[in-house]
Amino acid sequence: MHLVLSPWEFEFFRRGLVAAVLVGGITGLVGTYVVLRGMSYIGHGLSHAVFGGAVVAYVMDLNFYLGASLWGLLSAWLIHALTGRRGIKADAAIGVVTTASFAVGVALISRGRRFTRNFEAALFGNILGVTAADLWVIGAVCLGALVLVLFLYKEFLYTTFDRESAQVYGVATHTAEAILALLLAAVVIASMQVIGVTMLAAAIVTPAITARLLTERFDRMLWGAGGIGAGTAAVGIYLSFVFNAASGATIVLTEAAVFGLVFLLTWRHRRLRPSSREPEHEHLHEHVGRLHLHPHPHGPEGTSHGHTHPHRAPRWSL
Amino acid sequence: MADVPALAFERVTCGYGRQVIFADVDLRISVGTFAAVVGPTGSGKTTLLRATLGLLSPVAGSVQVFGQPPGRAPGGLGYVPQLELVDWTFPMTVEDVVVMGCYRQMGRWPRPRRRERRAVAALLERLGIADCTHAPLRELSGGQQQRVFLARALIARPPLLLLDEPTAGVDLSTQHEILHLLGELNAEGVTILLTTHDLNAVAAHLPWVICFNRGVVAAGDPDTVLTPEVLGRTYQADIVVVETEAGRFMAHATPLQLRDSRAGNRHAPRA
Repeated sequence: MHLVLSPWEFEFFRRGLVAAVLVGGITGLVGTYVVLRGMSYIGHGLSHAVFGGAVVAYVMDLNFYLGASLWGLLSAWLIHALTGRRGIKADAAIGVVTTASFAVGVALISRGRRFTRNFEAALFGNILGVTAADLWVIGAVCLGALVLVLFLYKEFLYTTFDRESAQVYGVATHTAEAILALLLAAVVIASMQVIGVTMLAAAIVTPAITARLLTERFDRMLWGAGGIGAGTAAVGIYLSFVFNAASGATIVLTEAAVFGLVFLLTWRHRRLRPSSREPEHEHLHEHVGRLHLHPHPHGPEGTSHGHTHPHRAPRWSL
Repeated sequence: MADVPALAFERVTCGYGRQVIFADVDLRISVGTFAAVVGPTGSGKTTLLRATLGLLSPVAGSVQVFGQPPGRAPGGLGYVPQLELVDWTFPMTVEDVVVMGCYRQMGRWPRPRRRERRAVAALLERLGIADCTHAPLRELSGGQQQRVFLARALIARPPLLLLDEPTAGVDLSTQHEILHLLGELNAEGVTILLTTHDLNAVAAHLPWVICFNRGVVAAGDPDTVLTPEVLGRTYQADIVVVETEAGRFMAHATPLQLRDSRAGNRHAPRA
Protein backbone atom coordinates (compact mmCIF):
# COMPACT_ATOMS: atom_id res chain seq x y z
CA MET A 1 0.00 0.00 0.00
CA HIS A 2 2.88 2.28 0.79
CA LEU A 3 4.28 1.84 -2.72
CA VAL A 4 0.91 2.63 -4.29
CA LEU A 5 0.37 5.88 -2.42
CA SER A 6 3.92 7.06 -1.82
CA PRO A 7 4.42 8.92 -5.11
CA TRP A 8 1.50 11.19 -4.27
CA GLU A 9 3.55 12.73 -1.50
CA PHE A 10 5.82 14.36 -4.07
CA GLU A 11 4.74 17.48 -5.87
CA PHE A 12 6.92 16.63 -8.90
CA PHE A 13 5.00 13.39 -9.28
CA ARG A 14 1.59 15.03 -9.16
CA ARG A 15 2.77 17.62 -11.65
CA GLY A 16 4.31 14.93 -13.84
CA LEU A 17 1.11 12.89 -13.76
CA VAL A 18 -1.04 15.84 -14.85
CA ALA A 19 1.47 16.65 -17.61
CA ALA A 20 1.57 13.01 -18.77
CA VAL A 21 -2.22 12.65 -18.88
CA LEU A 22 -2.57 15.89 -20.87
CA VAL A 23 0.29 14.99 -23.22
CA GLY A 24 -0.96 11.40 -23.64
CA GLY A 25 -4.46 12.61 -24.46
CA ILE A 26 -3.36 15.22 -26.95
CA THR A 27 -0.81 13.04 -28.76
CA GLY A 28 -3.53 10.38 -29.06
CA LEU A 29 -6.03 12.89 -30.46
CA VAL A 30 -3.62 14.39 -33.00
CA GLY A 31 -2.29 10.89 -33.72
CA THR A 32 -5.66 9.97 -35.24
CA TYR A 33 -5.05 12.42 -38.08
CA VAL A 34 -1.39 11.45 -38.37
CA VAL A 35 -2.28 7.75 -38.74
CA LEU A 36 -5.18 8.27 -41.14
CA ARG A 37 -3.14 10.61 -43.34
CA GLY A 38 -0.23 8.17 -43.37
CA MET A 39 2.07 10.85 -41.89
CA SER A 40 3.68 8.75 -39.13
CA TYR A 41 7.11 9.57 -40.47
CA ILE A 42 6.40 13.31 -40.15
CA GLY A 43 5.76 12.94 -36.41
CA HIS A 44 9.01 11.04 -36.06
CA GLY A 45 10.97 13.55 -38.14
CA LEU A 46 9.44 16.66 -36.60
CA SER A 47 10.33 15.60 -33.05
CA HIS A 48 13.94 14.90 -34.06
CA ALA A 49 14.23 18.17 -35.98
CA VAL A 50 12.92 20.16 -33.04
CA PHE A 51 15.59 18.63 -30.77
CA GLY A 52 18.29 20.43 -32.76
CA GLY A 53 16.48 23.71 -32.13
CA ALA A 54 16.17 22.97 -28.43
CA VAL A 55 19.94 22.45 -28.08
CA VAL A 56 20.77 25.54 -30.13
CA ALA A 57 18.36 27.55 -27.94
CA TYR A 58 20.11 26.19 -24.83
CA VAL A 59 23.60 27.02 -26.11
CA MET A 60 22.52 30.51 -27.16
CA ASP A 61 20.64 30.98 -23.89
CA LEU A 62 17.31 31.48 -25.63
CA ASN A 63 13.89 30.30 -24.46
CA PHE A 64 13.44 26.56 -25.15
CA TYR A 65 9.97 26.87 -26.68
CA LEU A 66 10.97 29.82 -28.85
CA GLY A 67 14.09 28.06 -30.16
CA ALA A 68 12.27 24.80 -30.80
CA SER A 69 9.38 26.54 -32.59
CA LEU A 70 11.60 28.61 -34.88
CA TRP A 71 13.79 25.59 -35.66
CA GLY A 72 10.72 23.47 -36.35
CA LEU A 73 9.35 26.07 -38.76
CA LEU A 74 12.72 26.30 -40.52
CA SER A 75 12.87 22.50 -40.92
CA ALA A 76 9.31 22.36 -42.21
CA TRP A 77 10.10 25.09 -44.76
CA LEU A 78 13.28 23.26 -45.88
CA ILE A 79 11.35 19.98 -46.34
CA HIS A 80 8.68 21.81 -48.30
CA ALA A 81 11.30 23.60 -50.44
CA LEU A 82 13.21 20.38 -51.22
CA THR A 83 10.23 18.12 -51.95
CA GLY A 84 9.51 17.76 -55.63
CA ARG A 85 12.70 19.54 -56.71
CA ARG A 86 14.85 17.55 -59.11
CA GLY A 87 13.11 14.29 -58.27
CA ILE A 88 13.45 14.46 -54.46
CA LYS A 89 10.50 12.75 -52.78
CA ALA A 90 8.97 13.87 -49.49
CA ASP A 91 10.23 10.93 -47.41
CA ALA A 92 13.81 11.50 -48.54
CA ALA A 93 13.58 15.25 -47.86
CA ILE A 94 12.20 14.54 -44.37
CA GLY A 95 14.98 12.01 -43.77
CA VAL A 96 17.76 14.43 -44.71
CA VAL A 97 16.45 17.60 -43.04
CA THR A 98 15.22 16.16 -39.75
CA THR A 99 18.14 13.83 -39.07
CA ALA A 100 20.68 16.54 -39.95
CA SER A 101 18.80 18.84 -37.61
CA PHE A 102 18.91 16.19 -34.85
CA ALA A 103 22.64 15.74 -35.56
CA VAL A 104 23.23 19.48 -34.97
CA GLY A 105 21.86 19.01 -31.46
CA VAL A 106 23.92 15.87 -30.79
CA ALA A 107 27.12 17.50 -32.14
CA LEU A 108 26.65 20.59 -29.95
CA ILE A 109 26.06 18.50 -26.84
CA SER A 110 29.04 16.21 -27.44
CA ARG A 111 31.33 19.20 -28.07
CA GLY A 112 30.42 20.83 -24.79
CA ARG A 113 30.42 17.44 -23.01
CA ARG A 114 27.45 18.69 -21.03
CA PHE A 115 25.01 15.86 -21.40
CA THR A 116 22.83 17.25 -18.68
CA ARG A 117 19.59 15.95 -17.24
CA ASN A 118 17.69 18.47 -19.38
CA PHE A 119 18.82 16.85 -22.60
CA GLU A 120 18.29 13.38 -21.27
CA ALA A 121 14.74 14.48 -20.52
CA ALA A 122 14.35 15.88 -24.02
CA LEU A 123 15.61 12.64 -25.56
CA PHE A 124 13.89 10.03 -23.41
CA GLY A 125 11.34 11.93 -21.35
CA ASN A 126 11.52 12.65 -17.63
CA ILE A 127 8.79 13.69 -15.23
CA LEU A 128 11.43 15.41 -13.10
CA GLY A 129 12.02 17.82 -15.96
CA VAL A 130 8.46 19.16 -15.92
CA THR A 131 8.30 22.62 -14.37
CA ALA A 132 5.22 24.66 -13.53
CA ALA A 133 5.91 26.76 -16.64
CA ASP A 134 6.03 23.59 -18.79
CA LEU A 135 2.68 22.56 -17.35
CA TRP A 136 1.15 25.88 -18.40
CA VAL A 137 2.48 25.46 -21.94
CA ILE A 138 1.17 21.87 -22.11
CA GLY A 139 -2.21 22.99 -20.76
CA ALA A 140 -2.46 25.82 -23.29
CA VAL A 141 -1.56 23.54 -26.22
CA CYS A 142 -4.12 20.96 -25.05
CA LEU A 143 -6.86 23.55 -24.79
CA GLY A 144 -5.94 25.02 -28.18
CA ALA A 145 -5.87 21.59 -29.81
CA LEU A 146 -9.22 20.61 -28.31
CA VAL A 147 -10.86 23.83 -29.51
CA LEU A 148 -9.41 23.38 -33.02
CA VAL A 149 -10.41 19.71 -33.27
CA LEU A 150 -13.98 20.56 -32.24
CA PHE A 151 -14.30 23.79 -34.20
CA LEU A 152 -12.66 22.47 -37.37
CA TYR A 153 -13.95 18.90 -36.96
CA LYS A 154 -15.45 18.62 -40.45
CA GLU A 155 -12.60 20.48 -42.15
CA PHE A 156 -9.96 18.19 -40.63
CA LEU A 157 -12.02 15.04 -41.26
CA TYR A 158 -12.99 15.78 -44.87
CA THR A 159 -9.50 16.99 -45.83
CA THR A 160 -8.00 13.84 -44.32
CA PHE A 161 -10.48 11.47 -45.96
CA ASP A 162 -10.80 12.86 -49.48
CA ARG A 163 -8.90 16.08 -50.12
CA GLU A 164 -10.04 16.82 -53.67
CA SER A 165 -13.73 16.20 -53.08
CA ALA A 166 -13.56 18.21 -49.87
CA GLN A 167 -12.26 21.13 -51.91
CA VAL A 168 -15.10 20.72 -54.45
CA TYR A 169 -17.68 20.74 -51.62
CA GLY A 170 -16.26 24.02 -50.31
CA VAL A 171 -13.73 23.03 -47.64
CA ALA A 172 -10.66 25.28 -47.46
CA THR A 173 -8.35 22.26 -47.60
CA HIS A 174 -5.05 24.16 -47.82
CA THR A 175 -5.87 26.14 -44.69
CA ALA A 176 -7.06 23.01 -42.88
CA GLU A 177 -3.82 21.19 -43.74
CA ALA A 178 -1.65 24.13 -42.66
CA ILE A 179 -3.48 24.38 -39.32
CA LEU A 180 -3.19 20.62 -38.83
CA ALA A 181 0.58 20.78 -39.47
CA LEU A 182 1.01 23.67 -37.01
CA LEU A 183 -1.08 21.79 -34.45
CA LEU A 184 1.13 18.72 -34.80
CA ALA A 185 4.25 20.86 -34.38
CA ALA A 186 2.82 22.50 -31.25
CA VAL A 187 1.93 19.10 -29.77
CA VAL A 188 5.42 17.74 -30.53
CA ILE A 189 7.13 20.70 -28.85
CA ALA A 190 4.85 20.60 -25.80
CA SER A 191 5.29 16.82 -25.39
CA MET A 192 9.09 16.71 -25.66
CA GLN A 193 9.83 17.01 -21.94
CA VAL A 194 7.40 14.30 -20.88
CA ILE A 195 7.67 11.73 -23.69
CA GLY A 196 11.09 12.52 -25.15
CA VAL A 197 12.10 13.11 -28.76
CA THR A 198 13.05 9.51 -29.46
CA MET A 199 9.76 8.11 -28.12
CA LEU A 200 7.33 10.68 -29.48
CA ALA A 201 6.54 9.02 -32.81
CA ALA A 202 5.29 5.90 -31.01
CA ALA A 203 3.27 7.96 -28.52
CA ILE A 204 1.52 9.70 -31.43
CA VAL A 205 0.81 6.59 -33.49
CA THR A 206 0.09 3.83 -30.95
CA PRO A 207 -3.10 5.10 -29.22
CA ALA A 208 -4.58 5.96 -32.63
CA ILE A 209 -3.99 2.54 -34.19
CA THR A 210 -5.25 0.88 -30.99
CA ALA A 211 -8.47 2.89 -31.23
CA ARG A 212 -8.71 2.08 -34.95
CA LEU A 213 -8.79 -1.64 -34.13
CA LEU A 214 -11.78 -1.07 -31.85
CA THR A 215 -14.07 0.97 -34.11
CA GLU A 216 -15.16 1.71 -37.67
CA ARG A 217 -16.30 5.23 -36.79
CA PHE A 218 -14.14 8.30 -36.98
CA ASP A 219 -15.51 10.14 -33.91
CA ARG A 220 -15.05 7.07 -31.72
CA MET A 221 -11.53 6.59 -33.03
CA LEU A 222 -10.65 10.23 -32.32
CA TRP A 223 -11.93 10.36 -28.72
CA GLY A 224 -10.91 6.75 -28.10
CA ALA A 225 -7.32 7.52 -29.11
CA GLY A 226 -7.33 10.54 -26.79
CA GLY A 227 -8.69 8.42 -23.93
CA ILE A 228 -6.27 5.55 -24.53
CA GLY A 229 -3.37 8.02 -24.77
CA ALA A 230 -4.32 9.71 -21.47
CA GLY A 231 -4.97 6.42 -19.64
CA THR A 232 -1.79 4.68 -20.78
CA ALA A 233 0.26 7.79 -20.01
CA ALA A 234 -1.08 7.80 -16.42
CA VAL A 235 -0.17 4.12 -15.98
CA GLY A 236 3.17 4.68 -17.73
CA ILE A 237 4.19 7.60 -15.51
CA TYR A 238 3.36 5.54 -12.44
CA LEU A 239 5.51 2.67 -13.71
CA SER A 240 8.25 5.20 -14.43
CA PHE A 241 8.23 6.17 -10.76
CA VAL A 242 8.03 2.60 -9.44
CA PHE A 243 10.83 1.25 -11.64
CA ASN A 244 12.80 4.50 -11.71
CA ALA A 245 12.85 4.37 -15.54
CA ALA A 246 12.58 7.11 -18.18
CA SER A 247 8.96 8.25 -18.41
CA GLY A 248 8.88 8.29 -22.22
CA ALA A 249 9.95 4.67 -22.36
CA THR A 250 7.43 3.45 -19.74
CA ILE A 251 4.57 5.37 -21.41
CA VAL A 252 5.43 3.97 -24.84
CA LEU A 253 5.81 0.44 -23.45
CA THR A 254 2.41 0.69 -21.73
CA GLU A 255 0.83 1.89 -24.97
CA ALA A 256 2.49 -0.90 -26.92
CA ALA A 257 1.27 -3.47 -24.39
CA VAL A 258 -2.31 -2.19 -24.64
CA PHE A 259 -2.06 -2.22 -28.44
CA GLY A 260 -0.81 -5.83 -28.38
CA LEU A 261 -3.62 -6.87 -26.07
CA VAL A 262 -6.30 -5.18 -28.18
CA PHE A 263 -4.81 -6.66 -31.34
CA LEU A 264 -5.03 -10.17 -29.90
CA LEU A 265 -8.52 -9.66 -28.44
CA THR A 266 -9.93 -8.32 -31.71
CA TRP A 267 -8.20 -10.98 -33.82
CA ARG A 268 -10.94 -13.64 -33.66
CA HIS A 269 -13.69 -11.05 -33.77
CA ARG A 270 -12.41 -9.61 -37.05
CA ARG A 271 -11.87 -12.92 -38.68
CA LEU A 272 -15.34 -14.16 -37.80
CA ARG A 273 -17.11 -10.93 -38.63
CA PRO A 274 -19.78 -11.57 -41.25
CA SER A 275 -19.17 -9.67 -44.44
CA SER A 276 -21.84 -8.07 -46.57
CA ARG A 277 -19.94 -9.14 -49.64
CA GLU A 278 -21.01 -12.22 -51.51
CA PRO A 279 -19.31 -15.31 -50.14
CA GLU A 280 -16.49 -16.56 -52.29
CA HIS A 281 -16.42 -20.01 -53.71
CA GLU A 282 -14.64 -21.62 -56.58
CA HIS A 283 -15.73 -23.57 -59.58
CA LEU A 284 -14.40 -24.40 -62.97
CA HIS A 285 -14.83 -21.58 -65.45
CA GLU A 286 -13.31 -20.13 -68.54
CA HIS A 287 -11.85 -16.78 -69.38
CA VAL A 288 -9.03 -15.55 -71.56
CA GLY A 289 -9.54 -18.81 -73.40
CA ARG A 290 -8.43 -20.91 -70.47
CA LEU A 291 -10.37 -23.22 -68.25
CA HIS A 292 -9.34 -22.96 -64.64
CA LEU A 293 -10.28 -22.84 -61.00
CA HIS A 294 -9.99 -20.05 -58.50
CA PRO A 295 -12.20 -18.45 -55.88
CA HIS A 296 -14.31 -15.46 -56.86
CA PRO A 297 -17.45 -13.80 -55.55
CA HIS A 298 -20.83 -14.22 -57.17
CA GLY A 299 -24.02 -12.27 -57.31
CA PRO A 300 -24.99 -8.93 -58.81
CA GLU A 301 -21.95 -7.03 -57.49
CA GLY A 302 -18.46 -6.93 -58.93
CA THR A 303 -16.34 -9.86 -59.86
CA SER A 304 -13.06 -10.25 -58.06
CA HIS A 305 -10.84 -9.80 -61.04
CA GLY A 306 -12.51 -7.19 -63.14
CA HIS A 307 -14.12 -9.23 -65.89
CA THR A 308 -17.24 -11.26 -66.17
CA HIS A 309 -17.62 -15.00 -66.19
CA PRO A 310 -19.72 -16.34 -68.99
CA HIS A 311 -20.30 -19.64 -67.17
CA ARG A 312 -19.70 -21.69 -70.23
CA ALA A 313 -18.11 -24.43 -68.20
CA PRO A 314 -20.22 -26.75 -66.05
CA ARG A 315 -20.75 -25.51 -62.50
CA TRP A 316 -18.90 -27.91 -60.30
CA SER A 317 -19.12 -26.69 -56.79
CA LEU A 318 -16.06 -27.60 -54.81
CA MET B 1 -30.59 32.63 -68.28
CA ALA B 2 -31.74 30.21 -70.96
CA ASP B 3 -28.66 30.68 -73.12
CA VAL B 4 -26.12 30.52 -70.31
CA PRO B 5 -24.40 27.14 -70.82
CA ALA B 6 -23.92 24.74 -67.91
CA LEU B 7 -20.25 24.61 -68.79
CA ALA B 8 -18.15 26.86 -71.02
CA PHE B 9 -14.44 26.52 -71.78
CA GLU B 10 -12.97 29.43 -73.73
CA ARG B 11 -9.49 28.96 -75.15
CA VAL B 12 -8.48 27.02 -72.04
CA THR B 13 -4.91 25.79 -71.61
CA CYS B 14 -4.18 23.43 -68.72
CA GLY B 15 -1.02 21.74 -67.52
CA TYR B 16 1.09 20.67 -64.57
CA GLY B 17 4.35 22.55 -64.13
CA ARG B 18 5.87 23.00 -67.57
CA GLN B 19 3.91 20.11 -69.08
CA VAL B 20 0.92 21.27 -71.12
CA ILE B 21 -1.92 18.73 -71.14
CA PHE B 22 -4.18 20.56 -73.58
CA ALA B 23 -4.18 24.00 -75.17
CA ASP B 24 -6.82 26.42 -76.50
CA VAL B 25 -9.80 24.19 -75.77
CA ASP B 26 -13.25 25.55 -76.55
CA LEU B 27 -16.18 23.57 -75.20
CA ARG B 28 -19.81 24.35 -74.42
CA ILE B 29 -22.27 22.06 -72.69
CA SER B 30 -25.86 23.29 -72.55
CA VAL B 31 -28.11 22.94 -69.53
CA GLY B 32 -29.75 19.50 -69.37
CA THR B 33 -27.12 17.66 -71.41
CA PHE B 34 -26.03 14.12 -70.50
CA ALA B 35 -22.53 13.88 -71.97
CA ALA B 36 -19.56 11.55 -71.97
CA VAL B 37 -15.94 12.53 -72.55
CA VAL B 38 -14.14 9.66 -74.27
CA GLY B 39 -10.52 9.33 -75.17
CA PRO B 40 -7.43 7.19 -74.59
CA THR B 41 -5.53 7.02 -71.31
CA GLY B 42 -3.48 10.18 -70.80
CA SER B 43 -5.63 12.22 -73.21
CA GLY B 44 -6.48 14.79 -70.53
CA LYS B 45 -10.03 13.66 -69.64
CA THR B 46 -9.40 13.86 -65.91
CA THR B 47 -7.60 17.19 -66.31
CA LEU B 48 -10.67 18.53 -68.14
CA LEU B 49 -12.79 17.42 -65.20
CA ARG B 50 -10.38 18.91 -62.66
CA ALA B 51 -10.46 22.26 -64.45
CA THR B 52 -14.28 22.17 -64.43
CA LEU B 53 -14.27 21.43 -60.69
CA GLY B 54 -11.89 24.29 -59.95
CA LEU B 55 -9.25 21.86 -58.62
CA LEU B 56 -6.85 23.03 -61.32
CA SER B 57 -6.53 26.64 -62.42
CA PRO B 58 -6.07 26.96 -66.18
CA VAL B 59 -2.79 28.45 -67.39
CA ALA B 60 -4.80 30.51 -69.88
CA GLY B 61 -8.43 30.98 -70.89
CA SER B 62 -11.59 30.88 -68.81
CA VAL B 63 -13.75 28.12 -67.37
CA GLN B 64 -17.30 29.05 -66.42
CA VAL B 65 -19.97 26.95 -64.78
CA PHE B 66 -23.44 28.48 -65.19
CA GLY B 67 -21.71 31.76 -66.01
CA GLN B 68 -19.53 31.78 -62.89
CA PRO B 69 -16.02 30.56 -62.02
CA PRO B 70 -16.14 26.92 -60.77
CA GLY B 71 -15.64 27.82 -57.09
CA ARG B 72 -18.71 30.10 -57.18
CA ALA B 73 -20.93 27.95 -59.38
CA PRO B 74 -24.55 28.62 -58.32
CA GLY B 75 -25.89 25.58 -56.49
CA GLY B 76 -22.43 24.05 -56.28
CA LEU B 77 -21.13 21.03 -58.15
CA GLY B 78 -21.60 17.32 -57.59
CA TYR B 79 -18.45 15.25 -57.97
CA VAL B 80 -17.89 11.49 -57.97
CA PRO B 81 -14.16 10.67 -58.00
CA GLN B 82 -12.65 7.48 -59.39
CA LEU B 83 -13.45 4.78 -56.86
CA GLU B 84 -9.90 3.41 -57.02
CA LEU B 85 -8.60 6.65 -55.50
CA VAL B 86 -10.82 6.37 -52.39
CA ASP B 87 -9.36 5.06 -49.10
CA TRP B 88 -11.87 2.28 -48.38
CA THR B 89 -10.29 1.43 -45.01
CA PHE B 90 -11.06 4.91 -43.63
CA PRO B 91 -13.19 4.69 -40.47
CA MET B 92 -16.39 6.35 -41.69
CA THR B 93 -19.98 5.21 -42.06
CA VAL B 94 -22.03 5.70 -45.22
CA GLU B 95 -24.00 8.49 -43.51
CA ASP B 96 -20.76 10.31 -42.56
CA VAL B 97 -19.59 10.20 -46.18
CA VAL B 98 -22.88 11.36 -47.72
CA VAL B 99 -23.25 14.26 -45.26
CA MET B 100 -19.89 15.56 -46.52
CA GLY B 101 -21.71 16.65 -49.70
CA CYS B 102 -23.77 19.28 -47.83
CA TYR B 103 -20.75 20.87 -46.12
CA ARG B 104 -21.78 24.34 -47.32
CA GLN B 105 -25.19 24.06 -45.67
CA MET B 106 -23.91 22.72 -42.34
CA GLY B 107 -23.03 24.69 -39.24
CA ARG B 108 -20.05 24.37 -36.91
CA TRP B 109 -21.50 21.48 -34.86
CA PRO B 110 -19.42 18.34 -35.54
CA ARG B 111 -22.34 15.89 -35.86
CA PRO B 112 -24.98 15.98 -38.61
CA ARG B 113 -28.31 17.42 -37.45
CA ARG B 114 -31.74 15.87 -37.87
CA ARG B 115 -32.46 17.81 -41.07
CA GLU B 116 -29.30 16.44 -42.71
CA ARG B 117 -29.92 12.92 -41.44
CA ARG B 118 -33.41 12.98 -42.96
CA ALA B 119 -32.10 14.18 -46.30
CA VAL B 120 -29.45 11.43 -46.29
CA ALA B 121 -32.02 8.78 -45.37
CA ALA B 122 -34.37 9.84 -48.17
CA LEU B 123 -31.59 9.88 -50.76
CA LEU B 124 -30.17 6.49 -49.73
CA GLU B 125 -33.70 5.07 -49.88
CA ARG B 126 -34.05 6.34 -53.42
CA LEU B 127 -30.68 4.91 -54.44
CA GLY B 128 -31.65 1.54 -52.94
CA ILE B 129 -28.97 1.43 -50.25
CA ALA B 130 -31.01 2.53 -47.20
CA ASP B 131 -29.88 -0.56 -45.28
CA CYS B 132 -26.25 0.58 -45.60
CA THR B 133 -26.78 3.92 -43.77
CA HIS B 134 -24.69 2.98 -40.75
CA ALA B 135 -22.41 0.49 -42.49
CA PRO B 136 -18.68 1.17 -42.41
CA LEU B 137 -17.09 2.02 -45.76
CA ARG B 138 -14.91 -1.07 -45.84
CA GLU B 139 -17.92 -3.41 -45.86
CA LEU B 140 -19.48 -2.08 -49.07
CA SER B 141 -19.61 -3.93 -52.37
CA GLY B 142 -18.58 -2.29 -55.66
CA GLY B 143 -22.11 -1.25 -56.63
CA GLN B 144 -22.84 0.10 -53.14
CA GLN B 145 -19.59 2.09 -53.15
CA GLN B 146 -20.56 3.82 -56.39
CA ARG B 147 -24.05 4.63 -55.05
CA VAL B 148 -22.67 6.05 -51.77
CA PHE B 149 -20.43 8.47 -53.65
CA LEU B 150 -23.28 9.33 -56.00
CA ALA B 151 -25.40 10.11 -52.94
CA ARG B 152 -22.66 12.40 -51.60
CA ALA B 153 -22.59 14.22 -54.94
CA LEU B 154 -26.39 14.59 -55.05
CA ILE B 155 -27.22 15.50 -51.45
CA ALA B 156 -26.85 19.25 -52.01
CA ARG B 157 -28.95 19.01 -55.23
CA PRO B 158 -26.33 20.49 -57.56
CA PRO B 159 -27.43 21.41 -61.10
CA LEU B 160 -24.23 19.91 -62.60
CA LEU B 161 -22.91 16.45 -61.81
CA LEU B 162 -19.38 15.38 -62.77
CA LEU B 163 -18.24 11.76 -62.62
CA ASP B 164 -14.73 10.43 -63.25
CA GLU B 165 -14.89 6.92 -64.79
CA PRO B 166 -18.08 5.95 -62.92
CA THR B 167 -18.34 2.64 -64.74
CA ALA B 168 -14.74 1.48 -64.30
CA GLY B 169 -14.21 -1.47 -62.01
CA VAL B 170 -17.86 -2.49 -61.70
CA ASP B 171 -19.50 -5.39 -63.47
CA LEU B 172 -21.85 -5.10 -66.45
CA SER B 173 -25.16 -5.16 -64.56
CA THR B 174 -24.02 -2.57 -61.98
CA GLN B 175 -22.77 -0.43 -64.87
CA HIS B 176 -26.20 -0.68 -66.46
CA GLU B 177 -27.99 0.25 -63.23
CA ILE B 178 -25.74 3.27 -62.66
CA LEU B 179 -26.31 4.59 -66.18
CA HIS B 180 -30.06 4.03 -65.75
CA LEU B 181 -29.98 6.02 -62.50
CA LEU B 182 -27.98 8.83 -64.12
CA GLY B 183 -30.54 8.85 -66.95
CA GLU B 184 -33.34 9.38 -64.42
CA LEU B 185 -31.45 12.25 -62.78
CA ASN B 186 -30.85 13.80 -66.16
CA ALA B 187 -34.57 13.57 -66.93
CA GLU B 188 -35.16 15.58 -63.74
CA GLY B 189 -32.98 18.37 -65.15
CA VAL B 190 -29.49 17.61 -63.78
CA THR B 191 -26.73 18.27 -66.32
CA ILE B 192 -24.30 15.34 -66.30
CA LEU B 193 -20.74 15.08 -67.59
CA LEU B 194 -18.81 11.85 -67.14
CA THR B 195 -15.51 10.51 -68.41
CA THR B 196 -15.23 6.96 -69.72
CA HIS B 197 -12.93 4.82 -71.78
CA ASP B 198 -15.74 2.40 -72.55
CA LEU B 199 -17.05 3.26 -76.01
CA ASN B 200 -19.45 0.35 -76.41
CA ALA B 201 -21.21 0.01 -73.08
CA VAL B 202 -21.27 3.67 -72.06
CA ALA B 203 -20.53 6.31 -74.68
CA ALA B 204 -22.69 4.79 -77.42
CA HIS B 205 -25.79 4.99 -75.19
CA LEU B 206 -25.49 8.62 -74.11
CA PRO B 207 -27.15 11.48 -76.00
CA TRP B 208 -23.95 13.55 -76.31
CA VAL B 209 -20.35 12.42 -76.80
CA ILE B 210 -17.15 14.48 -76.68
CA CYS B 211 -14.14 12.77 -78.27
CA PHE B 212 -11.11 14.15 -76.49
CA ASN B 213 -7.40 13.76 -77.01
CA ARG B 214 -5.45 16.76 -75.74
CA GLY B 215 -8.23 18.84 -77.27
CA VAL B 216 -11.77 18.33 -78.52
CA VAL B 217 -11.63 16.12 -81.63
CA ALA B 218 -15.41 16.17 -82.10
CA ALA B 219 -18.55 16.71 -80.02
CA GLY B 220 -22.13 15.82 -80.84
CA ASP B 221 -24.63 13.00 -80.77
CA PRO B 222 -23.18 9.47 -81.11
CA ASP B 223 -24.57 9.01 -84.66
CA THR B 224 -22.44 11.82 -86.01
CA VAL B 225 -19.43 11.53 -83.68
CA LEU B 226 -18.78 7.81 -83.33
CA THR B 227 -17.41 7.29 -86.82
CA PRO B 228 -14.22 5.46 -87.82
CA GLU B 229 -12.72 8.75 -88.93
CA VAL B 230 -13.31 10.64 -85.63
CA LEU B 231 -12.42 7.65 -83.46
CA GLY B 232 -9.28 7.07 -85.51
CA ARG B 233 -8.16 10.62 -84.79
CA THR B 234 -9.12 10.32 -81.11
CA TYR B 235 -7.37 7.02 -80.44
CA GLN B 236 -4.61 7.35 -83.07
CA ALA B 237 -5.56 3.90 -84.31
CA ASP B 238 -7.73 2.18 -86.93
CA ILE B 239 -11.15 1.70 -85.36
CA VAL B 240 -14.01 -0.16 -87.04
CA VAL B 241 -17.63 0.68 -86.27
CA VAL B 242 -20.18 -2.10 -86.71
CA GLU B 243 -23.90 -1.31 -86.75
CA THR B 244 -26.08 -4.17 -85.49
CA GLU B 245 -29.67 -4.51 -84.29
CA ALA B 246 -28.36 -4.51 -80.72
CA GLY B 247 -26.56 -1.24 -81.25
CA ARG B 248 -23.29 0.18 -82.45
CA PHE B 249 -20.04 -1.59 -81.65
CA MET B 250 -16.54 -0.23 -81.97
CA ALA B 251 -13.32 -2.19 -81.97
CA HIS B 252 -9.71 -1.98 -83.02
CA ALA B 253 -9.47 -2.76 -86.74
CA THR B 254 -6.64 -5.25 -86.21
CA PRO B 255 -7.94 -8.08 -84.01
CA LEU B 256 -5.48 -9.50 -81.53
CA GLN B 257 -4.24 -13.04 -82.08
CA LEU B 258 -3.14 -13.97 -78.61
CA ARG B 259 -4.86 -17.33 -78.34
CA ASP B 260 -3.25 -20.47 -79.63
CA SER B 261 -4.44 -20.77 -83.22
CA ARG B 262 -4.58 -24.57 -83.18
CA ALA B 263 -8.26 -25.41 -83.38
CA GLY B 264 -8.17 -27.95 -80.58
CA ASN B 265 -7.11 -25.38 -78.02
CA ARG B 266 -9.74 -22.81 -78.89
CA HIS B 267 -12.24 -24.44 -76.61
CA ALA B 268 -11.98 -25.75 -73.11
CA PRO B 269 -10.40 -29.17 -72.98
CA ARG B 270 -12.73 -31.90 -71.88
CA ALA B 271 -11.70 -33.50 -68.66
